Amino acid sequence: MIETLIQLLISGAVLGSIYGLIGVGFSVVHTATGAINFAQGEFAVLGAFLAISLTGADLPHFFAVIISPIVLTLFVVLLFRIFLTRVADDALYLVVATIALSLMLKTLLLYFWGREPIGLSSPFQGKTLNIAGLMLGYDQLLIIAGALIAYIFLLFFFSKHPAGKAMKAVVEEKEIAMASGLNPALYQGVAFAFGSLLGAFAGCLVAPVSMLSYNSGGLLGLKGFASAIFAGLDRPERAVFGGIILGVIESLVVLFVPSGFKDVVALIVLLIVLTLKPEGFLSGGRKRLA
Amino acid sequence: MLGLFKKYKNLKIVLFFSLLLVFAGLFLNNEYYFATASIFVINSLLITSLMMVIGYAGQISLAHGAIYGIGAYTSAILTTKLGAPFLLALLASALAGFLVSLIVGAPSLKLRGHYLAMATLGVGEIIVILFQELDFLTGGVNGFVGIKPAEIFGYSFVNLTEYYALVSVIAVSILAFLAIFVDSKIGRALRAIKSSEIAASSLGLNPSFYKLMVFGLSGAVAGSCGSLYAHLDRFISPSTFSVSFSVMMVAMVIVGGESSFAGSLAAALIFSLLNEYVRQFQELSQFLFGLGLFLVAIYMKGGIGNIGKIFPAKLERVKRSEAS
Repeated sequence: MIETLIQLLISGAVLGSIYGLIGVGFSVVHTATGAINFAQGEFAVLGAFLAISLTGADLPHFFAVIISPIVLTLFVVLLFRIFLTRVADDALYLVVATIALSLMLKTLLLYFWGREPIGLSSPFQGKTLNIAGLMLGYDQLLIIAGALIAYIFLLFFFSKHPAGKAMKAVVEEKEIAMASGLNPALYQGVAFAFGSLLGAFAGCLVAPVSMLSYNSGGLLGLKGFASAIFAGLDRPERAVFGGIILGVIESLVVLFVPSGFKDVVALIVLLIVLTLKPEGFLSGGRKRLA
Repeated sequence: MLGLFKKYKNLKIVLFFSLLLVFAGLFLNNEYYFATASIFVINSLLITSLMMVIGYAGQISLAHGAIYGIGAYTSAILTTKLGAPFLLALLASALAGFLVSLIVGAPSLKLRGHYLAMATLGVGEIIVILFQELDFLTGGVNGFVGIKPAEIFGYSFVNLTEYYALVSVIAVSILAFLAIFVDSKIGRALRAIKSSEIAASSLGLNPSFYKLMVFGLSGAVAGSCGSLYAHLDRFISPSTFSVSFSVMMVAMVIVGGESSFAGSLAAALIFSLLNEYVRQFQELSQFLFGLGLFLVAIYMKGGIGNIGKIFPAKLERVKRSEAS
């Protein structure tokens, strides 16, 4: 019994790390633009599918997993440079544009990769680590490691690195930031690119563990957003923990309710946070509501 | 009579719409086309009801498809499982849509913008999961099969031509009601609240009450649309009411123009024609609407329904600058 419980906790933490990575993307974009990228979930699926196609073209796994997020990020940079800069200051229209983007991406995913769920076959398939009777797949370990690396990097980036501080400044005090020579559009673009990089990376990490289909992006995005909002959108790095908490809750709930209702849990958590404490439970900063 | 059209200017659009439906009814000669035309009518009403929330209350809802579904399932269960008469089921669907929409709208009292969008998206997703999982009631992912045809006082609307007429009559009456509603005292209060909540509340208007009223009204209309849809195909499944459909509807409202009756109806027409044209790959029309939404958001805030307003405004400016 206790072993099943721990196994559930681990698989919850693994899933949660994915939500966390996607959630970090939401917070980073929100930090710099004040908007939410509704296409974040689709970016994750697109990243995974690109990697699947690359390995299908006989490229080595690691190469595919690195190339795919980079290609996607370049695409997002172009997209931002050509179109989104025009609305980057108007959070509402930026949101509408990303909703439109998610609609188009979903269609493209369906068109190019079909209706059936597909998975990424990684070289670690079936390889597991056995710690005192507990099974932990290498692929799952990679996911947790990826989330922790992202956490440490972001912690450093936003608290120490000048670019991270500037990113927060351009949305909080735009005029002052501009007066001191910062270019808001640049930081907003970087935030967008970085958010989608993380999303695509999360997609590549999750694809070996669970199959994705063209419309998986919606729920992945919602759960990522739930993690981000749970942690507080003003604290990007903490979204990782928001995600892990969410993932653990989700996998423990399976003990009590039919598994079909599993997805409802994250959504209810999202609604509770939004109604009770929209600034987030892990947020230490001052209250800031949109 | 003419005064009525002057006071409620959207009635003209509804009149034009009903003439269009009559002409379509005269020219179509195939059961299949009547099914498509009925879907167009239902979509028009559905989009207009969402337009009320977006354009007149200034809120956003990504759960509208789910509320449409609530109406459809309510009607299907009442008529087919419990043997209730169609008109009663239609009213019950409207009531169910009204109540669920109040729940969807409740966060709007506290949240705005994209926070609200996410909250409504969450509620919408939960409702769709319930459609899938409560299979003893809804038939689960396989859908609800064998819904009874609509029946009024013993007359059964099995023939799609007749059902088209029934749908049109109901839809036009509801549209006319909405057209009067938006230019009534309540509609004016809504516009005041949309332009400034603080100013409106200082005049004694209660923004929360009005916002919830629009959510409720819009939900009741969406619920009735669901009922009409359920008895058209006589088969419903959860995927029809998914969040992507809700997103599509928001896209249509914004492409059509946030507070434009004509724009919403035009968007519904374009959508239905597109869907008809690209039937092998339905999602193409989703792509095109996504593209349209993208371009409208970036280049043409206001939507196609407001093109007429954009150009005169520019002309006005040119005239003024010439005069000065």
